[in-house]
Amino acid sequence: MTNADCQHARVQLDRYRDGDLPAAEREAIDAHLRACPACAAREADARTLGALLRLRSDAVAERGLPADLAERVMGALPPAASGFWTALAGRLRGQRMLIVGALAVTAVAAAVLLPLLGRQPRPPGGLRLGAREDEAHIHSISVRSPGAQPVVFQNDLGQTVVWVVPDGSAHDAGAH
Amino acid sequence: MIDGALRARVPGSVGGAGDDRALVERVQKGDRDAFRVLVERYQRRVYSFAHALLKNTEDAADVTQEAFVKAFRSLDGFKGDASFYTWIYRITNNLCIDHLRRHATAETIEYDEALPDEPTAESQAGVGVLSTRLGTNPQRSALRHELAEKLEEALGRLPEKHRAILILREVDGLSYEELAETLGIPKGTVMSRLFHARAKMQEILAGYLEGDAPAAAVNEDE
Repeated sequence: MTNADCQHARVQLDRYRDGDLPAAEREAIDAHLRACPACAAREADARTLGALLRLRSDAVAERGLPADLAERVMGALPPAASGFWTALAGRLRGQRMLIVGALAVTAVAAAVLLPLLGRQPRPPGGLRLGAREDEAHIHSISVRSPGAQPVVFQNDLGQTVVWVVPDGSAHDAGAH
Repeated sequence: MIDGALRARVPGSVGGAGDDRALVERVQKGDRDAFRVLVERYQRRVYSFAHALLKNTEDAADVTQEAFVKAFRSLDGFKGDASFYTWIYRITNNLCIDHLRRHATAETIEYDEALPDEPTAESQAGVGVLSTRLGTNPQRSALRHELAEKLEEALGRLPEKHRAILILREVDGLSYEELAETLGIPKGTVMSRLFHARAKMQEILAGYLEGDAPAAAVNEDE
């Protein structure tokens, strides 16, 4: 047994005791402790120190821990939210993708539906032409050019547009 | 012998990390009774840990209560990749450090510079309980009392960072990885800090332990 062996073993004893050594090194320390009474005594001391600290910890808790500590903790917690909101938060917890998806769908629906909600109701049997300030309701369309047909559609702004398309060229249309 | 009887008290053995996780999930869904189970499960350990750092019964109780309340408030942000006990220890450790900074005392002096503490009523009472627990043989009563007193003195002379790591390892059985996570330090620092803490304790208690005091062979890399 050399001083170098003891020096190496003593540096490794903590890891040995704490279960942090690979199996091969652990076996080497085991062998050293069997052969070296000084290092074995040091290891026994370290284990005794651990046991004393655990006894002390038990004694401290037994003597000083207030019997009503759990009650005090529970009494100091912030008030509970209402049952509905707590349950809702609990159900939604961890479902971030679901929440983000729902918000995205809501935003798209709002972008599409809100402009439509602002529109005046269409009179029965009629069409609305023009912007808000100068819009007019029409009930019939007559095309003076023979063979021409009116084409009625709604643009992206929700406005009704009338085109007259006779034989590939546009003509005026009179609206009443 | 004593050691073997007490080694089973690793944190996971209380209810299991999986059981803790299930309780945390119940609390996150609004079940306060589940939080009470966690409090009752860990209050002794958290209190003992806080007491080892603060050395005061009332302060340890206050910090223990504060740690659990803080944990409850932060539970929404708690992730399942950490265990509840390392998390509650980390909160407690931080609260103790804050407390010690606010109430700077001789306990924060590095042990190499500190003089042995005068015994206080608090430490004397703790010594009495511990010495009783060490056995009932009247012939060895004086020695037991002296050993318990020395243990308090040795703990009191350690800086709080050494006390914290020693208690978390020896009493609560945290692994090096858990210690690193709890204390926010690299694993290498965990090992060197533990080495110095144990070496100092063994040095102070040398007359009461069988072997000789270890020489410091590792430089603390902090």
